[in-house]
Amino acid sequence: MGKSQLVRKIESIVGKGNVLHRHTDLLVYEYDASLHRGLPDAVAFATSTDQVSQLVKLANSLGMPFLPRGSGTNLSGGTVPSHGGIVIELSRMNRILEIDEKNQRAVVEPGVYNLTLQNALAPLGYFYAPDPASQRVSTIGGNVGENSGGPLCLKYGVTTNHVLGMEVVLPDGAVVKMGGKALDQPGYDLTGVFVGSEGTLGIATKITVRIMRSPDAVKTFLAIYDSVEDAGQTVSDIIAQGIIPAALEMMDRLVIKAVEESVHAGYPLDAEAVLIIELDGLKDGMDRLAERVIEICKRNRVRNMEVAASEAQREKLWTGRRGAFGAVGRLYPSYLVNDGTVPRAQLPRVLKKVAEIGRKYNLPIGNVFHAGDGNLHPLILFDERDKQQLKLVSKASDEILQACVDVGGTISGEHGIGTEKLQAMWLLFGWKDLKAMWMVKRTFDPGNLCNPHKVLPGIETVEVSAAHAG
Amino acid sequence: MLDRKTRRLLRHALGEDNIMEGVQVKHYAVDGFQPQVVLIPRTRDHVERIVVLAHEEQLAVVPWGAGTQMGLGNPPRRVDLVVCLHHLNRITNLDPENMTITADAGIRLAMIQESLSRHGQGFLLPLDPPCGESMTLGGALSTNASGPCRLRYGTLRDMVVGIEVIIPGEVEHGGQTRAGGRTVKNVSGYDMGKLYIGSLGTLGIITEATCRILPPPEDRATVVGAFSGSEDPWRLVEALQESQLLPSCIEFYNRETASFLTTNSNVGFNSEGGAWAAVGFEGISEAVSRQIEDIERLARSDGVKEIQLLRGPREKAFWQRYGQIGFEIRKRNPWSIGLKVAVPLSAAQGMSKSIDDKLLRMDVAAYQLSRGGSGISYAHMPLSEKLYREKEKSLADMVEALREEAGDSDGASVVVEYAPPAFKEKVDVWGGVGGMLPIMERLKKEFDPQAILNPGRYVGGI
Amino acid sequence: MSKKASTSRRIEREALLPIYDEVARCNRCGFCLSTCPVYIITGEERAVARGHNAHLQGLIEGRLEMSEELKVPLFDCLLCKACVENCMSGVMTHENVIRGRSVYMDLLGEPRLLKFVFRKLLPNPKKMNFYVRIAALGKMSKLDRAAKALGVLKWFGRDRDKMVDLVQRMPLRSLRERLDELNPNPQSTNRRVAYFLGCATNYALPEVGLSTVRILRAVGCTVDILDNLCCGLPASSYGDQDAFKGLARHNIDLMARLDVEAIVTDCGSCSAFLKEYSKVFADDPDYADKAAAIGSKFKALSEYLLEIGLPSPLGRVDARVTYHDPCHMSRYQNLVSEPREIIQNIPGVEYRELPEADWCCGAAGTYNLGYYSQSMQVLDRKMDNVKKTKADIVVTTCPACNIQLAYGTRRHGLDCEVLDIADLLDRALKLRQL
Repeated sequence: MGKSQLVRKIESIVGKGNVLHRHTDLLVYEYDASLHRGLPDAVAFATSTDQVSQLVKLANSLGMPFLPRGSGTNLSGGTVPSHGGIVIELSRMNRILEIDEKNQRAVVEPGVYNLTLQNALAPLGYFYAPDPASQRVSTIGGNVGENSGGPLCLKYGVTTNHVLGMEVVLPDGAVVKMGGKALDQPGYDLTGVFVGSEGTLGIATKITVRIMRSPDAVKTFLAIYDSVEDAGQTVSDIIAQGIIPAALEMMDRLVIKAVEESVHAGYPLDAEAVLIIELDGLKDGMDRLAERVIEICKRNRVRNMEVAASEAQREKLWTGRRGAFGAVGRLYPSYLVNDGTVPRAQLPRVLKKVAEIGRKYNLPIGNVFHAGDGNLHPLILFDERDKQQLKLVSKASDEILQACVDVGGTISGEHGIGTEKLQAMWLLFGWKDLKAMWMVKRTFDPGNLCNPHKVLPGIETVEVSAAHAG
Repeated sequence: MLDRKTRRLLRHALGEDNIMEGVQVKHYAVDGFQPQVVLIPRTRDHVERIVVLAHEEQLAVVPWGAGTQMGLGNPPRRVDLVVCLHHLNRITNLDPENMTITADAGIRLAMIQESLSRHGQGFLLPLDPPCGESMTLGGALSTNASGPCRLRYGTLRDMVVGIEVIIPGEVEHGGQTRAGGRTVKNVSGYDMGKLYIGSLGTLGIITEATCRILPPPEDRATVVGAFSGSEDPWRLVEALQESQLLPSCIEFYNRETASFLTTNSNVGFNSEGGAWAAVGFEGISEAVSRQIEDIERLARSDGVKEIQLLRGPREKAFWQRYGQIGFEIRKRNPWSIGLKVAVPLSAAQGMSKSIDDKLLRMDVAAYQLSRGGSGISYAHMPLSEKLYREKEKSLADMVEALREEAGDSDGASVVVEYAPPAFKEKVDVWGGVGGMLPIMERLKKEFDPQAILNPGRYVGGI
Repeated sequence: MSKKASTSRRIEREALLPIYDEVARCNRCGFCLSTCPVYIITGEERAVARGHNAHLQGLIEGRLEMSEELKVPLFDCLLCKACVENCMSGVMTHENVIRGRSVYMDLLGEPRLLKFVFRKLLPNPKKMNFYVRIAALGKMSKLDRAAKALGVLKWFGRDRDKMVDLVQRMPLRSLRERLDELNPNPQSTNRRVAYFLGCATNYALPEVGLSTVRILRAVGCTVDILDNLCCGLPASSYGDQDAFKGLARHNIDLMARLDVEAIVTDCGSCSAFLKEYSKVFADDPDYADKAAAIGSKFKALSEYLLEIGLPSPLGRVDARVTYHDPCHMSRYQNLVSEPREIIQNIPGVEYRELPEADWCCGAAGTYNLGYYSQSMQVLDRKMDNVKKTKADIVVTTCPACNIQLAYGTRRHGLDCEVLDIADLLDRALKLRQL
């Protein structure tokens, strides 16, 4: 089909002016927040479930790939077209459809920013637990696709623990309802497997989430350390003592520098590491809990501990932490961020290995991460315009992932597999394990048109020898 | 009948000692369908060989843990082999620093809890389904069993981080597959655990799972209150919702259930109440104390007639007894019916009343209990054969009427959790799943192309 | 590729190369999307900082050629700096965009109307007066409505006919023609300031200028009303660097001869732009020193008044007052608390903080003409916030914002006055005599 014909067909669905097809306009849809690029054939702005369904049907009739996109802040290439096709832009489907306090649910369109939902809930005394660092711009639809976490997930769980139902446009264009405000719907948990499927099993057009009462009291600390090991040990000790803070984040010296330049929150530039520790819950007993935490930090040679004196101060600390990835642009233009997650106790070991790898390839690596659940984010800093560097960075990244897997960890805690970690899936899974996942993919998308070449590496071409199958 | 060749293959695969035939197999019937043999594998390899064989010979397989929930589901289309998994019962990895535990599917939940409690400061798996003593991990997983503390801790779908399953669809290459891992955060690949959990063993046989565990709370207590009217506990729930309190569970129950609890448990009440509520709290001591004070105050303003505070062994005994209701009823009255109704919170009170009214009109008693903060209610109706025959039609009508009321939007459901096989012929135990059925059927076809696992027992006759 | 094409590619690459590093610093985190008014309204990546930088990078790396297709991507931007303010890497996207526009104009040619205005009218006040008078007469006689009805103004560009409604009235006499209305300078004074008269104030809101001079004289300043030309902001924003520099040089020469304590202007845009002069001319051998010498003298009116003190006493203005932050005041000069402090010092005022006070009004100079529908959507969100305050008066410190907000009150049927801070102070001054 000729380009103009395709465009006309799309226009007949979403209206003139809501399709992008010129090279200049498509160029800004070839990227997301990762290092991957891929040009789509067209970008269609949808504003209703029906439009999404029709677009998907159109793509099917043409045998053309398609994929959903919200804000395009994906960190693994999930929103970058791998083989052209139609990008179905959902940023205009951004209404909060319902906040149902009685049932403790909210229903939203996929294009609603996570923070927009939070801000709508806060005055009512509620919050939505998954709070990814990108929350001010990442959409709930995107959060569903990636099963996003965030600092609060240590205590409250990740997106999949808070999504209770969806309306989904399946890869053949059929619209189906899954789950809802009630719990325990009989049958296979399709909602559950959909969350985290990175847009490869369909497109969510309405999402029902759980909302929770905002905690009675919150206490936020900044703990300043002269060594990364001490900070890491503090994390282990806190958890070992049976204390589950609401959040437990770490940043190292390199990242602190970038962040402080951006937000001027009072981060100490000469510290080797800082921990942001947040406790929440009923105010009864919180002081004693805080004392215990302070005690543990002191035992691990904390240099200084500051308590956020006001909501404004607390916000500043968090703004810095959340903007960390962007902030390192002040040091180097580009970064590749790993997302390996390891058992907590292995953190110090893996951090050491990461530093070694950095030295081996002569690449600066900054660390900012969810220490409480062992989810690392080593930021390998470089300039992506230098293709030689890019190669080295790739190698370093692979080694870091291997190091995580070696200690019983996984290759992605929250950023998704996307395109970036496709081959790294083989570090974790064997042929049979991946085949089971392909069964799920085939169930939803027999035509393999829905965001193809993401999440699951191809297995057809792999020779099935007994050794490999084992 | 299994032919000689098949029997020989089985003996070869498992060893003579691990095969049970003859009259004993009648104890392993499912809705009246007796298996031809009962297999007792000792290792994963055994299980795998069974699945491979069953797939090749197209034999219907029913996995069996402790048998506490075999009443769930439609009657099977056929049963050839029952596979008992209780010998796969080790804890393969306990990692307290990482707060995860990995165990074989055949292990009893009680065993897990006991091992956890003995380790270090003690840990717990926050899972308290009915029959929790004897239920196996695999049984809990395949039925997504849950109990009162799900209010705070969620269900197994929220706790499982890694899982191992043997899938018939993979048998050309062995069948054992893994998904997830050992870390509490993991988005590598699809969240397969979500599909397997609650699938009633129709996609594969779960052989191992890794779950998150928690440190023990500093303090815990349960406040039980007797109210006069059945509306009163619902007002309490509303008040709780508006407060800052964080109960670990909120349970309401009726007079029948109260009297059941009184026997054998030490928690008797002097007053004649119409409805009871039991609210549990756990956490740091100051928080627990404050919440106890608050809830007592709320209950009093709600007109509670009597309050009791349970701690320690008394508290433990109370909840233990609470978890035995369904089982006891089924044991005493094999013709009993158990219903589970799940609706959005705002509709829960209405549904509860509706159930009350219908039962009253039918003149059938029931042990009712509700998960107050979750919108889920259970009604256990003890029936003799005579009573069942008398009330069969009205009971079937009641299920239909409740389904009508619950509606099919919002994922609401009315499930018959156990009933005599005759009732299951009359009523679809699961209810409909709307537009999702075609996907579920395709999923089943992928994972179990020959439909050998629990054929017909799942939703839509899958 | 033809020789001409490859030459122009070389030109565009060379012209853009100096910003390559700045553009490449965008690591695509996307935080700008949540703050960009145009993106918030259109949802289109080409409208937001991340997209702008991507386009520019594409041009530099040869993956894209400068063409008409880049018109909207480069010019559909308010230059409000909301992105820069929130950019974790601190990428100066507004500067990148202006550089892009400049190259666009060089390669594809500047529209005749713009060229005419920037190179023929702005440097020539007499000519400018003539054309403005025609426009004013047209407005008065309602000829403008006839022109609109006939679609005449459309010849000047899509939506130019909306210009007719945007400006409610065009004064017949500019401020420069009304200087006789002012009282003379105070007798004894130890402060000498120059007043830089911006074009918008001069032609569209002369009362504001009159108020400013009156206030400055009321606090004892000798005010020298400069014979300045346009500060050059419109030309620079559109990418006509030559025109802008021509105007700037004239202004610098004029101001370098002054012996004043400060060069004050009531136009937020002018003060922001004048403060950039020293940076722009830093490498210019002839003007670097001159520009640097006057650099620190530029002051926005509210900034200067807080330094030297408000007129005292002030009469009562009993009104509910709110304040809109012009982008050029808040994000370009970091002057946020100063206007608020002044307003709250006026007796009788009940100050109400405007929600999203620094959300752009949508005027962005002449953005409202080129991108009318988007400008209106940006404005509508602003007006929804104004409604929430139930204010009697909306104060601002930029004539473009002033005109746009006034249009907004008419558009939304609000019974609310829009005043420059100079007007408000002048009113308070007049009221003290009662």
